[in-house]
Amino acid sequence: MASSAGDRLAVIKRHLVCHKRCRLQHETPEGSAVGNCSDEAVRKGRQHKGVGWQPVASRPPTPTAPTVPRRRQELLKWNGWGYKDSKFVVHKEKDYCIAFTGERYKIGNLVLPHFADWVKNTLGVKFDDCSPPQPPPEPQAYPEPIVEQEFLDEVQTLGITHSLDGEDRLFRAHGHTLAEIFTLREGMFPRIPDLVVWPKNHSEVEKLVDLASRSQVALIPFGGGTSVSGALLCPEEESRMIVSLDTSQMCRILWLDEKNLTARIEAGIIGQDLERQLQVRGYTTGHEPDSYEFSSLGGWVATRASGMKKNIYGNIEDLLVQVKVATPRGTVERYTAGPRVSAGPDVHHFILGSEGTLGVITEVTMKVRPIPVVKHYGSIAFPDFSSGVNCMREVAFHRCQPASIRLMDNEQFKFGHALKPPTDLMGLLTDGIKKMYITRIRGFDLNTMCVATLLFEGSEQDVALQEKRLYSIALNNGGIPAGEANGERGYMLTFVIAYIRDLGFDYGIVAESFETSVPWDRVYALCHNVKHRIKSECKERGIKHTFVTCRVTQTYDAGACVYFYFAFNYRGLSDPVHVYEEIEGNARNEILGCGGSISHHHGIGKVRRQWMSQTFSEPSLGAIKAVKQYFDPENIFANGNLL
Amino acid sequence: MEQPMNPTSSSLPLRKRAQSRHEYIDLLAHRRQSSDLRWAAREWHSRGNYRYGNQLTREEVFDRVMQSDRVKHTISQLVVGGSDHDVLVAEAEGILEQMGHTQELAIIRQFAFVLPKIMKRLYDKVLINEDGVEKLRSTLIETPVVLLPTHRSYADFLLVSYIAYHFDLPLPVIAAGMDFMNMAVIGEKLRGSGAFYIRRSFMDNALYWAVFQEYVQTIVKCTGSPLEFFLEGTRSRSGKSLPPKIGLLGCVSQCWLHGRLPDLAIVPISISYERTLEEKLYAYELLGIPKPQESTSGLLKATSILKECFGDIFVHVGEPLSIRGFLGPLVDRHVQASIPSHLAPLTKNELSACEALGHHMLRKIQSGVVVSVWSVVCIQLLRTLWTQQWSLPLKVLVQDVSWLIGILERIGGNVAFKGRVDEAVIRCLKIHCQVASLGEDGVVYIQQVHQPAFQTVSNQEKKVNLSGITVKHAVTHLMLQHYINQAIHLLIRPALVAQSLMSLGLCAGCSLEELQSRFSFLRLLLGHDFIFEKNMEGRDFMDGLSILTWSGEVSVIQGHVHVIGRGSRLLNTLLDLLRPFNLTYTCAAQTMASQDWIDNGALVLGIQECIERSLMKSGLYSALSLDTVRHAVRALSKMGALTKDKGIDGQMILAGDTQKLHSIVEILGQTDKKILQPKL
Repeated sequence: MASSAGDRLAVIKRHLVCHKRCRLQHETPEGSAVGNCSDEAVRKGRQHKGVGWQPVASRPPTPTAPTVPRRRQELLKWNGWGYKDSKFVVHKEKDYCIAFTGERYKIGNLVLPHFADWVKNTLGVKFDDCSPPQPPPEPQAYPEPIVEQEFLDEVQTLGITHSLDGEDRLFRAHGHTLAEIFTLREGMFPRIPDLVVWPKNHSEVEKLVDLASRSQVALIPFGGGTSVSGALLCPEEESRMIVSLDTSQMCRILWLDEKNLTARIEAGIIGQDLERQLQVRGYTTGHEPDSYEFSSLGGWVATRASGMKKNIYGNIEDLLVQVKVATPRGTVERYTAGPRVSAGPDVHHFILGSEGTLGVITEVTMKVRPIPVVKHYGSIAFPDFSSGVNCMREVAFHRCQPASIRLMDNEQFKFGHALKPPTDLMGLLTDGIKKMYITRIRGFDLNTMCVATLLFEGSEQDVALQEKRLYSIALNNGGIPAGEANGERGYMLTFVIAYIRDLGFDYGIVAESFETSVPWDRVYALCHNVKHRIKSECKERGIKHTFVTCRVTQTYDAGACVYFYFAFNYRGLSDPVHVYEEIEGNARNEILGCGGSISHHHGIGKVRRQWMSQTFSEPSLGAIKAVKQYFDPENIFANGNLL
Repeated sequence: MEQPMNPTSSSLPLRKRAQSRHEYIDLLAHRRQSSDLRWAAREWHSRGNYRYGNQLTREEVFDRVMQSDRVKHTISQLVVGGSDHDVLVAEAEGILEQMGHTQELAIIRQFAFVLPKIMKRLYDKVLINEDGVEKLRSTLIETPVVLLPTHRSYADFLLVSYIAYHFDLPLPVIAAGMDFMNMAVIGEKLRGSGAFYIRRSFMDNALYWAVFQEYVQTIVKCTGSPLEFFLEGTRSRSGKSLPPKIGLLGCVSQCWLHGRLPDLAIVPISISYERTLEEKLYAYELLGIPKPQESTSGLLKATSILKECFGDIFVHVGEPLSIRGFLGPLVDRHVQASIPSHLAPLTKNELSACEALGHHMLRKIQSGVVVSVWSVVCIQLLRTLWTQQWSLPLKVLVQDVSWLIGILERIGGNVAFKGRVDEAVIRCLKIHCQVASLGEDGVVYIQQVHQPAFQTVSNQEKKVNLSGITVKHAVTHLMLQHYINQAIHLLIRPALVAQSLMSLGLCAGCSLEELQSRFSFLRLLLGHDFIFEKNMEGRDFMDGLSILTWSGEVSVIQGHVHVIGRGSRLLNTLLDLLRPFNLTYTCAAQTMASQDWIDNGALVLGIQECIERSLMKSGLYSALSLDTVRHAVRALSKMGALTKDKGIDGQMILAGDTQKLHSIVEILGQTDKKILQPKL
């Protein structure tokens, strides 16, 4: 799931701190932004007001204990996104207003004065028409587990932690697609895992896989649970016992090699823990997918994840040096850690993107980098989306991308404004002046203009140089620098949206995001066509209130990644999830027709399987099937993803 | 193939017989009451501009075309082939200069002043369905629009633009043939009102083709001005729909096929004339007596027609069709989507989808046609002529016409009349008094229209083989046929079923399968004359058969089709409708079988001669129509009955497949035996 909260916050905070001090944080033990997230504190449910936007806690007593406990439900929502204590709430005062609770994020405990109006106007929300979710299921409401006694006995003998508890099982039965969350709020999955196991290391995983093969039990690996492709759903027709293999207890950094800048890491570690532990030692992986608060290293590899700062650090396939996978056929590994190997097709690429269909990723050797000295935010305003796209293209052409560059369309720009916290008189004044400059003097139309947000990282010199170069390209394309604060807000938006969806559900709004990658010459047309297609599909179905927006989030030599958000008011529709899926399906048809891909980083899972035949030719798919057939002839890893 | 995910609730009703009668309002009513000058000079702004359109000047459009990947690429390819870059650029600019439209409100205003003046002289009313106009406006805002009017007369040309002016719609950009451009003054005026000029054939000129495509697509994609062109390519002399031309349609479809636009709406516009300006000219042209060149002086000479009355015009603006909705299920866009769009020509599959689209749109256009009472009258008049009589009592005529109007309305035709049928018949006889007039004695007399002087007026480049006496009769026949053809699309399906029944031996009855396969054969054979949608054989057959069963003259019992003894009025009428076509196709097949031919021209004349020889017996003069003759040649070639071979001396010859031709003659011949005598 790309739209998570904490990563953006963490990044921003870290950067602010670094920028101010121009020193690595680990040198200042107290109050440093990043090294201070205590699971101890979190577990106790205490919250600390953060300086930055990242999820906050104090320094953990043992840096290796995972932030998310084995009983995830103690810290995380059981039927929505993120931390239990962080959510949007509606207050009724003189008028309705919306605030964000908790103190993990910067907008925590603030009333957002413009947001309620935006929601009313854009999505036609009526705040007195609230439909809260169902309460957590009673113990007897969970589907009865199918138990293969032999397997269970063996697990007990081996001393592997496990659970048959309904809550534990339900928590691992889903990811975060709209349909899955809707099911949690209103119904129950027809099939959930029958057993959860928590192996502690590779050898325990090996034993489990072997055992499963022997006793005909299906395994579904579970990492951070942030999938947005239906990858974690249990196939309904599976009659064998389904065991959810939760990797979260495999979360150690086994070693850090400072000579080669690599680290051997267990695959169950989640992003925020990994970063925190590395940063204590002065390093970072630089891999920050939007979900990195919760998503796991193994999950990144299994879905070919992409990080916000890939321009500097690369995507997961660039960061990965070695990978160890327990499959029914045995352990898959490449022995050498050489930086590049010419030895036939790269076996790593069977594993990257395999989505848990071949085995369990247990250990990964990954590149690390020293923490950069300087981090700056920035933003550029453009008169319209097409000049923004042209600018992005030119930046990519000159290969002078900063750590991150993202272009939001007009709708998202306005949405960002709706989320502005209250400003004092001075703020109002400067805002007013800015607005006047942009609209009156520069002649920008508030209904067409859009904004690119920037993040620079590196040495002071590097960053200064990058900024200079970038802003001059922007000027050539009709853009004007629009300040650091706008940049920060842009990155905030990403994580905020993930939490907003849960609020929307209460008021008849369903929302989801999806993404694609597309060659440069088609970026603009694709964005335009897909938005138009969604709107007209909505119109056909009698949906009155919709919000469709997109942003170009990554640039490459040959194209870009485009991210869409889509929400609509479903009051009056009998089956909003089905309607949503139809519309997203048609949007995906449009994407493919316009030259876009099936997915840039979310993966296939189950919800995008139907487009695989439009992505690969028949023999190509045959090869993928053959690989599966070889590694897992009895379909132990039976999550049914990809094909 | 895109599998569209449709809302489950809206399973489309198979065929809506939308019998909600449209309200037609008269554009001229208001013009007859107020000043044309003030009308032309009124403050004018279009309402309904494309949401994402840019207003581009002529130069800006040119600039985009010249800077486009397609044109640049084509030029660089030609440079590799040895041409000079600068020369090519100059050539491309020249092409644009010749092609490009301007759109000046001042010129539109001139037309807005002149056109009503002319129309008020010529026509009683210009009627249009306002709901269609408003739907068009709301579509124009959301998506680029292509307007596809019928082409029956030169009068079509500015009618749509005038309607746009009248309703404050965005003015269309119109694709026009070069012949208009060369008309003094008018050519440039048309350009100024939004016409752009394209050469008739340029497939072998790569640069022209590139510039043309880019020009059209720039207009559609960037400006959002509605693009207007004639799907049939040229004026239909016969009054029937011509097979759709796919060039321009494919070119605009490409915008969607290549993912450059989210969608495109195609709006059929059916323009029905109660009396066609060129009716007589067409009759001569169809006989092979050439038309005069388009020229302004010719136009001025034609002003004599201003004294005559041409009745009403009905304009029906049809339901917009989404290109995405139609083509989506037929094509695989993703296969081509990784090729830069200027380098990806339409695939075979895409072309065939565009063809299907063209046929579908023609059908839509046809379904919007408002059939005049005169068309129905003509059916009866022509049948009278075939019995060698030149008059019939009004009472009989009115009876037959009323009956046939009932049938047409049942089929879904929109017949234009209010009130009593006899009054409507008398009214149209007045308008068409040149062809048929009502005597004091209550008898309708059919006139000889042919004026021997006509042939000397037109320049005689081509030899006309027909004898004077034939021409004399044929002109009247063809003028009547012209109007019959305007309604024939409604009756063609039942008519083909009737003919299939007949050719299988009427009395014995036949199985449904036999009947359908015979129907399919005839549908294929006559597929150039009558436009059928692709892959819709089954539906066409059932449509036709259901009319016959509804009439009570045919019944289907346990998969067997029988003609029920009592009465065969409908069957006879339907068979009569096809008789001239039957004759043409039969003669075509016989002529082809008789000898080898050196070229198409000779063959066509040969066929016409053969038809002329048979006229003494049959009296079916409208079979002489060159339009049908050419269609017959095309259809028979396509069926493999006529092949191009290399002769002994290396010359190309057209050789018929005698066996195939004979079997076709046989099938057609059986139907001409006339088992049932027409009751008139």
